[in-house]
Amino acid sequence: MGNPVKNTFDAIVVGSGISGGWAAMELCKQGLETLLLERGRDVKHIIDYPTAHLRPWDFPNRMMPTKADAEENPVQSLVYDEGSKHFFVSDKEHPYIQKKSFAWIRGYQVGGRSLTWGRQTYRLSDLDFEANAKDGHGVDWPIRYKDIEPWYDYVEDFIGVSGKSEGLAHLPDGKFLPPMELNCIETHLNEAIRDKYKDRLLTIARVANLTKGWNGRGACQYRNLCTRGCPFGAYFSSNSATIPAAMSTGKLTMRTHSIVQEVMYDDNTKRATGVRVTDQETGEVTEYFAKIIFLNASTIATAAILLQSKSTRFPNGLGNDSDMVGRNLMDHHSGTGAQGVHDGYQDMYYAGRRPAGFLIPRFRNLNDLNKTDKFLRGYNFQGDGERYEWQDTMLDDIEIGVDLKNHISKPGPWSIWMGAWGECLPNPNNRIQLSKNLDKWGLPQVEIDFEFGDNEKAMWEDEMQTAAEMLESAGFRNISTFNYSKTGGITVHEMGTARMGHDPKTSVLNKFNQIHSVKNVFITDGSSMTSSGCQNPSLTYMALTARACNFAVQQLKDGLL
Amino acid sequence: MLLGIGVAATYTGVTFYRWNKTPDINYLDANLDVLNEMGEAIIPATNTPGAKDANVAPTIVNMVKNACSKMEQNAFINGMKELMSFSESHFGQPFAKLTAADKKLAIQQFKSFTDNSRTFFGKARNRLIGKSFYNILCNYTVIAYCTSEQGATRGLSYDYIPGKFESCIKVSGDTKAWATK
Repeated sequence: MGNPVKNTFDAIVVGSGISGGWAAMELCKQGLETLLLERGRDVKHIIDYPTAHLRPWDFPNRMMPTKADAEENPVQSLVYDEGSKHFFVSDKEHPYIQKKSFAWIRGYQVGGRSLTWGRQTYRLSDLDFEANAKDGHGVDWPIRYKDIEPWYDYVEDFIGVSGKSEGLAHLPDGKFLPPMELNCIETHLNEAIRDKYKDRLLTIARVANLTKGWNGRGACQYRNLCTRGCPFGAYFSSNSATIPAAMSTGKLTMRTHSIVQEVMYDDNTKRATGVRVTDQETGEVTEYFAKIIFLNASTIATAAILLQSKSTRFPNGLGNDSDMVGRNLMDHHSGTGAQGVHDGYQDMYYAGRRPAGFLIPRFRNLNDLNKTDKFLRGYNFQGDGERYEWQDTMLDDIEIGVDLKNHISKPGPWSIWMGAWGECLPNPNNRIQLSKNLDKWGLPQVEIDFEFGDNEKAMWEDEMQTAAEMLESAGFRNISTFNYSKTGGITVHEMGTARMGHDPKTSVLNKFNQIHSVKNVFITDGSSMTSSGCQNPSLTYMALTARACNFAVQQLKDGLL
Repeated sequence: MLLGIGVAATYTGVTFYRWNKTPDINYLDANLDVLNEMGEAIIPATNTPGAKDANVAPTIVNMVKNACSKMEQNAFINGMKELMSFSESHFGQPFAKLTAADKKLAIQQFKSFTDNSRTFFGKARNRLIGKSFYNILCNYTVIAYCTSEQGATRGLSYDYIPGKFESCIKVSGDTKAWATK
């Protein structure tokens, strides 16, 4: 298998997205010769952001979704636009099987979906870490907030998170850069909510967007074009932050176009030996070897790699003694909420395009006062306030000519839109498996079988009602509720397919994200999540990754790996 | 005011073939000037540029080619042709030669046959055959104008790199809306 020097490293990291970038950086900083494998192309910070500087009139279709998009990329085009589509896969080239409708949004390139993520950055709390143990859904998390708290600090300190401390036990404050500001209507709604509901509040979104220069990256310029890649490095991505930091150690080798077929296992040592890789362009197969392996291919792909990694010891896939690999797939549901307009503040507006909205933290089932018997756990609201502009008023029934021109040229009424992000219970029947159909590299296509259950659906009615009530209490009119009935996957928060747990019989990973039965394989992407919370999860993946890297390096030093 | 002659007849004559034939796309490219005139009736020049200054036609054509279904493309092209012949039959002049008031009047004739996505029939119509000529023309003119350099920077306000966020600022009745969110 070629030159052993070239193919042997201290550590291999599979995937360069938000958690893989962290693994590569942490392992390199600790002095490990690290190979970072990415199945797609390279995307160099700034250089490979071709649309970042374009103006609206530079786009031939002016951001309109096209027929070609809908036909050729029916899934990815649900979330991309003309400015960001080059950061999403081609559905044609990367088929998968939907046993029930499920949008698998992917970005196969260096940086993965960290280029296009929503940048919302929230901590989980013991309300979340204890939830499974308390109500019996899923298995107990093998960690509690105190185990991850210093790692949240550590990650936030590096990535830069703007936000406001609110002192909530169930949504712990972080190490924040100055918060972005709420606008007039959001402040109005915040005051009305705090006034009417003693246990609710509205706060500016906590986002990995810099409100001042930070760790060599520039401050936000308020263009709100983040998903095109930021030429100022003002939001966190692997490309802007972790990969350059890993490179600067001199310890990183990054190989693009490298599709991992499987993790190789040696039953004599009870350890994984390395990974077998297919070159995306040439089809050439290469094996790489290392003492430790981090799988960060993203929730669904990581589970698929495990299932593909069959051996005599693991006939059902690496580390799959529990049969939990691929099961318990979760995604937040985010298609429900309310909107309304307000007649006040007609003489007020804003300047600059803030790349963040607001958050109304979870307020259901925190304690006996806000307990409901309709569903377990809860949801938060994310939304934003703005004045109507031409995009919102162009369909109004106004006479063409000067009247219409005036109508679309003036700021319209203030409005609020808010949608709920709801927790999804772990359910072993929501799962991915490998199909007999192969992709063009000869690897099995993934088959996804997922649907939201009764508990998720029971939240939707409550979400619409509470959202509308809050708007009513703040004097909004034309309030309408919505339920877009979004399919699974569309929130792009897939989690759970290789969950952490105490017991090897019912979980895949231990409390340090180590495969129970294969101690030198660590999994720290969304697949490791034991429950979903209702918070946007990327911060937790990053904190788990940094924590697991620290543990792995210590184990290596102690001669245990 | 509704002139209504002729147009109703052509619309009742809609056949499956008319909606599903291969759209005469070349017609669009050959009629950019008149399409700009139609746009101007929807967003006229005032003390700020109008649709013609913004040259909305190539953008509208691009969107019709790339974003519309075949049925909508046919609806749009047929609608343009009908508007042209309506101008000739009713005003005795080609559309481009009409006065600004008559151009507007002529286009408005097509509104009553159009979808209203807020009514039951409008929704049903949208589902079956897509958006009407009138709605595509009006909506695409607005989009093309508001995203054009002239429209965004002079008809509206556009700040390429704001550099800061001011959450609550005082504005007057003359303040233009932002072109981008």
